Amino acid sequence: MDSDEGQQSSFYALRTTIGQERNVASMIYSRISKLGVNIYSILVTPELRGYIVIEALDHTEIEKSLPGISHVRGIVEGEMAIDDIEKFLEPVSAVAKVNLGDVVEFTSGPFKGSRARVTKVDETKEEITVVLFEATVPIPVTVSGNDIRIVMKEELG
Amino acid sequence: MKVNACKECKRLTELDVCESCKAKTTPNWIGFVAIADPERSDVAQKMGIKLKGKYALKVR
Ligand SMILES: [Zn+2]
Repeated sequence: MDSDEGQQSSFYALRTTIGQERNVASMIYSRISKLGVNIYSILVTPELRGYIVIEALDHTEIEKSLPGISHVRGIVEGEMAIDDIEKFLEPVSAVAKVNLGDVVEFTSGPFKGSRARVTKVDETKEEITVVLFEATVPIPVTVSGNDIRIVMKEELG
Repeated sequence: MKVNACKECKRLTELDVCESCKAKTTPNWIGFVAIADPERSDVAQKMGIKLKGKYALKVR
């Protein structure tokens, strides 16, 4: 098996007993390195009751990990699209920690290295609006939380 | 058994301070994701997770 960067992972839904999603996920996770199976992540979200999502090389890798695990009711046929999974994922670095008035620095993109003040935070869209310090005209710029880091928190009170 | 999530990196822990980034942890979290291979996992990449382990999906 080559491990090129281009190698794809696929997503599969595994049916479980309702209420046992996290237990099943933990059981499978604890076996991955022991069995040497190509499972890359396991996801449990309250929106999908009775299912867990497994990211793996292919479905046979998942099958290899299942014998003896209780509360497993089978792999749903067919792959899930990444778009169906993406909505459950909230980037770790992102916007949740950014507040109005914070000073941020761009870590990527055309403004890399520039500093700006946060004027708006849209948590649902994972976007923030900032005004660059260096700009002669204060034009608001909307960016993703992944493109910035917090330099200074707004003083409270 | 009490399980908390780190407010910064979302890693699950029983401690009040995260072992990996030293941030405070909180019992207010939902969802669960176990990352076995951060380099190959699209989920890890999209969430910005670089270390193997168990994480919350959302931390409040
Ligand atoms: Zn942490």
